Amino acid sequence: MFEVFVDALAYSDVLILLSIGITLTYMTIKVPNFTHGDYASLGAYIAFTINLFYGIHPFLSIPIVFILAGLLSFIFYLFIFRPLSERGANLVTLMVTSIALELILRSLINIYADIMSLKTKIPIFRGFIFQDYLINTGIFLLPFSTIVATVTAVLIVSLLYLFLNKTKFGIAMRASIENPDLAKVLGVNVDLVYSISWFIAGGLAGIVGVFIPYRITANPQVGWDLLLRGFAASVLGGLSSIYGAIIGGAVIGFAEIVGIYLLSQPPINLPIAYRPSIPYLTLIITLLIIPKGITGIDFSKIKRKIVGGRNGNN
Amino acid sequence: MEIIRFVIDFLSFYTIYLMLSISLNLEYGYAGISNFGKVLFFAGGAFTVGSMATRLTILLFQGRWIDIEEYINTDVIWGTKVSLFFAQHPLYGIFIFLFLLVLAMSISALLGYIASYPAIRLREDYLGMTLVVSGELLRNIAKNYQPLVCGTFGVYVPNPFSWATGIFRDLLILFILLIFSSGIWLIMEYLLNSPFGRLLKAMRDNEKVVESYGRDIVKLRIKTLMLGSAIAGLAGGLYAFYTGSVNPDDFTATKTFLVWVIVIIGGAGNNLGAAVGALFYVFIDRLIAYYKHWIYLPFDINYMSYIILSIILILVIFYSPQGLFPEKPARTPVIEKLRRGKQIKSIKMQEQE
Amino acid sequence: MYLLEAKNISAGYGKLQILFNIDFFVNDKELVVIIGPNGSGKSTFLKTLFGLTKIYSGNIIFRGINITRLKPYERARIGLAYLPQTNNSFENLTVKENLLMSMYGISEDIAEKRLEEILLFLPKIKDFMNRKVKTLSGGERQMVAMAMALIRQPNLIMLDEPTAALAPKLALEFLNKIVELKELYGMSVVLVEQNAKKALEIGDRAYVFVAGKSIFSGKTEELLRDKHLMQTYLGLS
Repeated sequence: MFEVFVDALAYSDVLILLSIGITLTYMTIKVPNFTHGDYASLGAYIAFTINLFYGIHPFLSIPIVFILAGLLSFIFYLFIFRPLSERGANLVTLMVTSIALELILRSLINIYADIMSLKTKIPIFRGFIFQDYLINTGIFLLPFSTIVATVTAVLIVSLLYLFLNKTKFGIAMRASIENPDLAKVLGVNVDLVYSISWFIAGGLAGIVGVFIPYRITANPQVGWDLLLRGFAASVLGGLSSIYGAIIGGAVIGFAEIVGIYLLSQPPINLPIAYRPSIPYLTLIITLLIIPKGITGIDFSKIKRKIVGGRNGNN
Repeated sequence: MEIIRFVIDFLSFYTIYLMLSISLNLEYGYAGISNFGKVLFFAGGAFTVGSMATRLTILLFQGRWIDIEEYINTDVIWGTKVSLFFAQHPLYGIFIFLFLLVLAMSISALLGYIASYPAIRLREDYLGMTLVVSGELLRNIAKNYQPLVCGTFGVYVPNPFSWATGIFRDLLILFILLIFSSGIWLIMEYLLNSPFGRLLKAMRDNEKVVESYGRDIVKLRIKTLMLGSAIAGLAGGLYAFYTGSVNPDDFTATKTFLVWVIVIIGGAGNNLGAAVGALFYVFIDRLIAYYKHWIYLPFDINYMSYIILSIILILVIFYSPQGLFPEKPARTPVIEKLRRGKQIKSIKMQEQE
Repeated sequence: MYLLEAKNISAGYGKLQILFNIDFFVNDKELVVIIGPNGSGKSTFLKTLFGLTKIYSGNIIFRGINITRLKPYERARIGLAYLPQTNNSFENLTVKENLLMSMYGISEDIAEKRLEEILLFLPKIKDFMNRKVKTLSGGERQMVAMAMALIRQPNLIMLDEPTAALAPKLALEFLNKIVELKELYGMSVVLVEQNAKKALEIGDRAYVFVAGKSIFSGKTEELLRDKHLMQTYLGLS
């Protein structure tokens, strides 16, 4: 049972980092960015390549991955999403564009994997894993990567909190996301703020890619598979709140791992391969019942309804 | 001979994608419903045919239903037997073919009905996510719930036209595909230039106004989705018969995206755009499929085609967002007259006429 | 030299033209009122002065600088301020954070001073400094919005129907405060108002906008005396 919990923890760390980015970019252009998952695939392959050719441990390549993935995300924003947004492109156009970019990025990664497979004659380019180090705590085996992932997630969430609440630029970011026109009028360079948001979002997704090969065999498809989970997490948390992304990531992460573990036990005996159905169904149900997500629920309204009912006011 | 084979194959695939893009054009181009789950309804039709074709025939003509444990290992054996059976009894083959297509369309239409629930309530971006995820959900179920299409192994689909042989068979199948797709085209052309089509566009552009005229938006959306899904289901069923097998991994979200690419590049809001866009895509796709061994590349060339198409899509969105064939105003009698350069004396005169 | 001069401004949203060849100027320490029927382009004009619309032709010169091509945030940083009619504060931020945002780009020590000064001017704000704006009432929010616009002590502040959502007593208070501020800090004010009568009483000069054109420009006394204009466009006698 401990292993399941630890597994869920590692998975949640990854989902939290991914959905923070999804929510962040959503808040700037109001469109779910389908490209986002592939930054993770990119991150995985960059870490793998660096490890293969320069012998640098994947964890140490996190800064490089962060910068490269962030840069790519920033470039996409600068040259594609911002111009389209300024022209007043509608939601569907932006979504289709992000899908087109996703296809391009994923295809490029596939091509890279193919070329490298042939060139280096190492077939694992199409599916590789990072060797993990297991710590024996006596009760269960704790993967070292889980510790690193959790520490990273906690660190990033804390840094983000400090940044968004205690720094001028961070507050400006929250303001720009809520009301860009007003922020502009008050002297904030909203373009710069958005650009940095996209950079951070992409960078975080890249970091996710470094952790993936410790849990599953990495291939060019991993980013896309995680993307849909990320959507589920962001939507569950509420697309207008970063805290929502964190909550959503944790909930989906645990729901998926612990959920499939429980469901695969007797009496239900559901095959583990049905795992993706959990986040998929959660996404669909969330959108139909509470489209604004958990953080979108107006608790004060509900409280008033309950209290008001009791007092016979209704 | 190679060329002929290429042309037949190209045209056959074209008919399938033509139907898919017409259906998306109906849903998005006309009614403004952003159906990002096209593959869901396509698969619905294909899976219906895949799971039923062999076993239903055996059930009808030999009275037994092969249960799934046995079928997984023997689907090819049974399937081939059924093909042979069809060769000897062509009319039964045609009957099963048509029956299953109708079933495919019905099941997809049902899926469309279910999907209309979120389609009515959700905004385009939320709807997009819901439908993409639904498509992947279906694929996940199909891969693991073996009774459907034998899970990851995929299922063999017998050939209802095995009485024909050689190139004649391919031509016959092509002919049938052309009949179906032309039929859909004609029906859609008529429908979309009729008051129904104009109503859809009106709903797309301004819901409130349409509602204030007493039109039931909800019913319209449901009808549109059911119709579009039925067409996609038909395409799926035909696709299953044509390719002779159904494998869940053939029905990924990428297929939906490709149909979107087609519709946007071709131009939403008119069938001509859908037709040209599909032509464009299928041509590139088939060209690559046939001649990939001629070009040496250290990677799978399909990725190149995705990249090229996506780049073209982005260019189109930037420089010609209406696509290659922008939407034209509906062909009402007045517009027709204007087009032909005739003078319009006054609106009153038109009414009197 | 004028504090602000807009020459021959034609502007709109995308391809939709709203303003046609408008000439406009503001002197130092002046309160200029823009009035006119709904949809005449008054709000659009303010937005245009701040760079939030598409300018087809014309120039805007502020403090001797041609600001026509400057981005909105650049204009904010050289002494121009704007209070929109709606969405004029950040709901999910606290009042203190809102005020901090309004001083974006200003150095720490000057910002501290400005904060003290605005609290002197609008002391009630001290009560809800740490509350999120969305928890405040309409009047309180408008007060916050006004503080946000004034805290920088701009050379020119543009107000778009600031009293629209306020009860008459508050509206009067508000307008009086504006005059107070003008005298205190030597600011100029451009005021777009529905409440034409009161606005004209406190204004130095006035413009009347109709259908995107300026049909009157002159001292407010002149306008008040022009019975025809007062009745036709302002419904006043």
